[in-house]
Amino acid sequence: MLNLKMNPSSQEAIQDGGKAAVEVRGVNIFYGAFQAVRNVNLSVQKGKITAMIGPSGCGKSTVLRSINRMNDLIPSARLEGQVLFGGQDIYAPQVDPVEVRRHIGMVFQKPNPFPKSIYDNVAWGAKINGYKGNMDELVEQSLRGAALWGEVKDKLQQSALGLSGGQQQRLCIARTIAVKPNIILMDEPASALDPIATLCIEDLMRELAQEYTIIVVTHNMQQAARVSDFTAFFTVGDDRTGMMVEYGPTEQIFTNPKDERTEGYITGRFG
Amino acid sequence: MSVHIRERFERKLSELRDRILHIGSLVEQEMTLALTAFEGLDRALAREVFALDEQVNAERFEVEDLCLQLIVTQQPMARDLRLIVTAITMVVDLERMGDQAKGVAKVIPHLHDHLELVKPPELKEMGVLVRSMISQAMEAYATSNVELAATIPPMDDDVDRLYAKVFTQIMYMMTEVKDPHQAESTYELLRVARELERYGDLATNVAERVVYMVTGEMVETNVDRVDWAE
Repeated sequence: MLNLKMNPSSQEAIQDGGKAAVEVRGVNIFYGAFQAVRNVNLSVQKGKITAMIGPSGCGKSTVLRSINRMNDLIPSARLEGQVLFGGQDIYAPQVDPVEVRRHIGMVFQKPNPFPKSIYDNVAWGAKINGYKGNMDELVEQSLRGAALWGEVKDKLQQSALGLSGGQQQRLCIARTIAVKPNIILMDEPASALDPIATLCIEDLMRELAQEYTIIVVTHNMQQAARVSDFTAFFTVGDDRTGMMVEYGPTEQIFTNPKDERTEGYITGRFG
Repeated sequence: MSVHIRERFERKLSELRDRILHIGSLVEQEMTLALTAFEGLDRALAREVFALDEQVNAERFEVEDLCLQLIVTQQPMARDLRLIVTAITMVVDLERMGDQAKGVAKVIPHLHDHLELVKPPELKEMGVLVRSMISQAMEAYATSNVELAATIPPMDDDVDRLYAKVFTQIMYMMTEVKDPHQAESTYELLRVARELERYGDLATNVAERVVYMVTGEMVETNVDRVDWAE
């Protein structure tokens, strides 16, 4: 649970499987004086995969990073508005961002395993969080959850850097799920991988969605169409500020979008 | 925002639309010829209908090939995808309409022309109606005109009413007929009526597909109303 007092209805909302896993409300994000993103309102459904698509510079990665306060690591970054997780604003003054990131994990575009053993990569996060249970079991469970166990079970003490790109990415996913998050954010998780490894990650995403809520930023529209339940389309205005244009069920967005800007982008008529 | 126009894709989509329009016009021509042949019991014209139908069949497969090609090479989305899916489904209905026209032409050799055959005037009315329907449906397709497409289902209701009327008439005629050749000819009139009625149904399907292509909504208008209670 979050390190702050939650009101009982929010706790119930999480336990009951309340529909929204996270809500972005009226969010504006600035880097210094520059407004990167304007007035984003997005309610991400629990247990579903939500894709964020749009042209370069539209702010989708910025919004993704704001959901687990990764933008805090950028000194000039500032957020107005609210990001509600379990009914609580994660940007409230008393909230610990590290604790937020335990509940809302992130997988990056370029696989970034630690220069440690496969085992230690997975165990590290849990150890840091004071996990007292059977670590071997947790590591195995996490590697199984990332569809990697079979390939590495006989070499857990070997360096993670010896794995292939696709395996490294799955290791990063194992590392993320070892701390039992609620939500997994993925920033173009397959763009550095070959087509087969990409499809592997996509299959894994669908399996993970049975237990976690997933939000994925992707440049690959076919991937968004294959893998997600909901899609949010972002675009960038003339002032270079990004905004969300349309949000809906993936099937509807890709067969019959409501906004012509969405249609222009997904049909490749506008870059 | 820079504009990227997928030129090659656009050209191919244009080609696809033109091919569909061409098949539509062939199918309209087929029925026109078939009805003229039927009117004058003209076997030479009937043979022309058959030749046209072969052309429709060949072009149908070319359209399906083009659609497959576009799907695999262009990953179409949204309205492009709907256009291609519409072409695939519409071409099947158009090809069937060609078969219906051929069906009208087929009866001509079975109509014994030494006999005085009374053709119910409703058949001519049905012919006029169904030809308008396909003409309007293809116009609606060409111009993405949903309002025009919507005028076609009510016309089909008129075709169905005429069919019901002519069916009863022909059944009555058959009970009055003594000569077996005349009975056969009279029966063939029923076949013509059925082909026209089906042609109307399929033209309605084509109109529904146009609506889907433009709006993304599939609305079924050919609802069979049957009173099951006796």
